[in-house]
Amino acid sequence: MDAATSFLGFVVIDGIAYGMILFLISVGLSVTMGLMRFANLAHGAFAAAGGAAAISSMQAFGIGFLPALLVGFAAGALIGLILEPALFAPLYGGDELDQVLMTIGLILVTIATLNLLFGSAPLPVVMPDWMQGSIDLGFRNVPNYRAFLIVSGGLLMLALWLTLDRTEVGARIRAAVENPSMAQAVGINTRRLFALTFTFGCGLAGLGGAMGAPLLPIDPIYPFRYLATFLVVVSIAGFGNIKGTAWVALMLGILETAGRYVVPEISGFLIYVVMIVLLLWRPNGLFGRPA
Amino acid sequence: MNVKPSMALSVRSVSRRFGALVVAQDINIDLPEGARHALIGPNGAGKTTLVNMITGALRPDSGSIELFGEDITGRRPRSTAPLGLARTFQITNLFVRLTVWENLALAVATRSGADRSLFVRASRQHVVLDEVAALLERVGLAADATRLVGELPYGRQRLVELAMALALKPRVLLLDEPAAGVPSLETGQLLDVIDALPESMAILMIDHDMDLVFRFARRITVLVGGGVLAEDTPDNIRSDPRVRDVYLGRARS
Amino acid sequence: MTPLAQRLRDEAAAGSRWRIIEVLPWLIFIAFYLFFESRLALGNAVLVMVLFTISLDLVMGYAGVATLGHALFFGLGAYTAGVLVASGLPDPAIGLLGGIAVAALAAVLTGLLLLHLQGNTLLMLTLAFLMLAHEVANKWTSVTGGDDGMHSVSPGPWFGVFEFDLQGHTRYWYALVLLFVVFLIARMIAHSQFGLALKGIRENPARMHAIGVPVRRHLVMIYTIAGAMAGVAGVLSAHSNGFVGLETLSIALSANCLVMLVLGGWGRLYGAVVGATVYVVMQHLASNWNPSHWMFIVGASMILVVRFGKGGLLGLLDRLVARFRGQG
Repeated sequence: MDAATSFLGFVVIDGIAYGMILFLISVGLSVTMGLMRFANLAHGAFAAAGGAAAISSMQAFGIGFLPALLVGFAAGALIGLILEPALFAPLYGGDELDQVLMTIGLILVTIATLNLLFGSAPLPVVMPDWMQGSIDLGFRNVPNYRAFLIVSGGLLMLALWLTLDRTEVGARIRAAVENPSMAQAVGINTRRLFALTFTFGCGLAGLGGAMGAPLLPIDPIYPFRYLATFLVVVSIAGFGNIKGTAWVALMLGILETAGRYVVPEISGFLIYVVMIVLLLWRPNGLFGRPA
Repeated sequence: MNVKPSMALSVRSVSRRFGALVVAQDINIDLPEGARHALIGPNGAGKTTLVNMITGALRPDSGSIELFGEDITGRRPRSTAPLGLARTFQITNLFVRLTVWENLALAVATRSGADRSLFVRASRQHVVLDEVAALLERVGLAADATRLVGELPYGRQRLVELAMALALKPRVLLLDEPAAGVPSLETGQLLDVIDALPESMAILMIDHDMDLVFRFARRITVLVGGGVLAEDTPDNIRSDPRVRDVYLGRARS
Repeated sequence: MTPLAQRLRDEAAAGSRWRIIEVLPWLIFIAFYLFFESRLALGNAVLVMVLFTISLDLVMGYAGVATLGHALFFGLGAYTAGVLVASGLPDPAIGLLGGIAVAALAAVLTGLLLLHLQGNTLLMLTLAFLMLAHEVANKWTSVTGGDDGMHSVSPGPWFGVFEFDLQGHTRYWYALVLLFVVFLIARMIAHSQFGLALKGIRENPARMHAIGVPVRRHLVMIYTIAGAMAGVAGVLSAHSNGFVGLETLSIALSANCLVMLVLGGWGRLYGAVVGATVYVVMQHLASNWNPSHWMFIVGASMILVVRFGKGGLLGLLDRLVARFRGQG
C-alpha cells in the first residue's frame, strides 16, 4: 500500500466524516433558506447550543455519548421551536435586511450567552471508550469515531432522503420549495410546515454540533467561526435542495481536508474562488434551477 | 419606393405557451396613431400576458412586435420605455413609501436623463419639478402632491399609476385595467383623464367594465383562450353572436 | 410658474437646504477636540467609524443593496495605506490616493460582477469576496504581516509640517476634515435626482426597470462611490492607529457597521453619524465590563430594533417629536 493511496484513503475517510457533520448542520439552513427564503445567519448557534447541551449533560449527569446526542438534538429543536414564532416567523417574506439584522443580533446574543454560561475555552469532550481506537478494515485502519460519523451520517442522510421522497410531508416540503404561492393555493398549511421544518432543522443542527464536537470544538465563537462554511455549502448546493446539500457537504469535506494537507497556503482562498465562480455561473446553486 | 403608413404599434402573429398551456395564439393587433383600441375577454384569456409581451417583460415564442416600424420583439422594458412605450399595471405598482411628487419625479427624471446628475443642480431639478407640477394639475392630483402614495385611497393611487405612465410622454400607452378595484364613486376622475389624453397617442386598454370599454373604444379585439375571437367596431362586437356566446356561456357555467 | 410648481420647488429645496441642527454634530466633534484632549484616540475611532457607516448608508440605506462584505473596501484601503508607508512612501496624501484608488477599483469590479443579482445570492457573494481578501491578507505574510498585521505604519507629516504626534492632534483634524468633505459629497448625492433614483431602486426595483431606469448602472455607480469612501475610512484607520490588522477585513467589522447603521437609523445619513458615534462611545464605556455583557446588549438591541423600533434612534426621535408636536 503506497503512500499516495494511503493518503488518499485518509483524506477521503476524514473528509467524508467531516462532510457528514457539515451536512447535518447545513441541511436545516438549506431548507430554511429554500422554504422560508430566510437567510438565517445564526444557524450555527443551534449547532453550538446542541453541542453545549450534549457536553454539559454528559458532565452534569454522567450520561453516555449516544444519549447525549439525543440531548443535543432536543436542545436544538427546543430552542428552534421557541424562537421560530417569536423571532423568525414575523419576518418571513419581509425585507432581507431585517432578516440579516435579526440573525446578526441573534448570533451576538448566542455568543454572549455561551460565554457567560461556559466561559471562553472550548468545551472538552470525553469520548466513550468504544469510540476511541480504530477498526482494521484490512487495507487500512479507520478510527472508530470517523467510522461512526460516516455510518450514522449516512443513515441519517438516507432517512432524510426517504422522508423527502416518499412521505406526504416530504412532498409538501418539496412543493413549497418549488413554488410557494402555488403550494399555499393548493391548501398546504405553510405556517405549520415552516414551524415543523424549522424546528427539525434546528434539531439536526444541534445533533450535528454534538456529534461533531470532537472535530469542531464547541466554544462561544462557534456560530460565527463556521458561518462562512455553512453558507458556502448551502449556497453552492442551492437553497432547499437536500440532495444537493449532501453532495456539496461531502465534496467540501473532502476538498477542505485535502486542501489542508496538499495546499495549506491557498486552500481557504481556493474554496472562496470556487464558491464565487460557481455562484456567478449558477446563482441558484449547482443543484438549483439554472438562472 | 412605396410609402407605407407606419402603425404606432404592430403585433404580428404573436404566440406564447407555458409548457402545455397556450396563453397566446397567433395574435394580430394593429394600432394606428391616435388609436383607441380595447382588448376584452374572459379572465385568463391572455390579455395581461399580451401586454407583458409587448413591453418586453415576457418574450414571445414566435411572431413580432413593432413600434413605429422598429422591431421591439423581446426587448426589455428598460429599452422600450425611452422609445415611447408606457404601461400601467393591473395591480398598483408604485413607490408607496415615497410621496406622489417623488413618484412622478422619478419617471420624469428618467425620461429626461436628469437622474444621471449626482449633484444638485437647481435648474435641472426645476425643469423636472415644473413638469411634475403640470402633470399633477392635468391629472387632478395637485392636492395630494406631498402625501405618501401608500396613504392615498385606492382610486387616487390608480390615478398616480396612470400619471406615472403619462410622465414618460408615451406615444403608445397600454392601460391594464385602469379602473380595476376602484370604487365606482372614484372612477369619474380617472375616466375624465383618459378621455382627455392627446389625440395623437395610440392607446390600448384592457378592461372588464363594458361601459368603460364602449365609451372609450373605437375598435375592440376580443381575446378568448389566448386567441383572437373577433376584432371590429364596438357596434359590431356588441351584436356579434359569438361574443355574446363567450360572455353568456361563461355566465351560465 | 404655477403655485404648485413653486410648492414642489420648496419641498425639494427644503430637503437639501442646510438646517441649523445639522451644525450640531460638527460642533460636538470640535468641542470634543477642545475638551477631551486626552481622549483623542477615542474621538478618532468615532470619526473613522462614522465615515465608514456613512458609506454603508449610501449603499444599503439609500440604494437598498444588502451587503455583508462592505469591510472589503475598508480593509483594502487600510492595507494599501499600510503597504505604501512600509514601502517607503510615508506621505499621507499618497496613502489616501492609493487607498481610494484600490478600494474604488475593487468596488467597480465586484459591483459589475454582482449587482445584477439580488437577495441571498448577492449577500453570499459579497461575503465570499470579503473572505477571499481576508484569506489573501492572512496568508500573504510577507506583505501584510498575516495574523500579526502591519505595525508602525504611521504616515509622515502632512504638507511636511503637521506631524502625526503621539497626542493625536494632527490625526484628529485629518480625520475630521476628511469626514466633513466625504459627508458633504454624500449629502449632495442623497439630495440629488440620482439620490431619488436610488431610493426608487430600493423601494421598487421592478418599477424602476419598467420606467426605463438603468438600474444596474446606477447601482454600480453608488457602489463604487461608497466603496471609495469606505477606502478612505480604512486609510484613516491605518494612519491613525499606525497599525493594520486582519480585523479590517473581517465579517465582524461589516456586521458592526451594519449594527451602527441600524441603531442610528438608515437612509438618512445622520442616522449613520448618530449610530456610529453612540456605538463606539458606548463600546468604549463598556470596555470595563465583561465583553459578553456588551455583546449581549448589542445583540438584543438589534433584535428589538428589527421587531419593534424601525428607523433606529433617529426614527425613535422622530416619533417622539411628532407625539410632542401632536400634543402641543
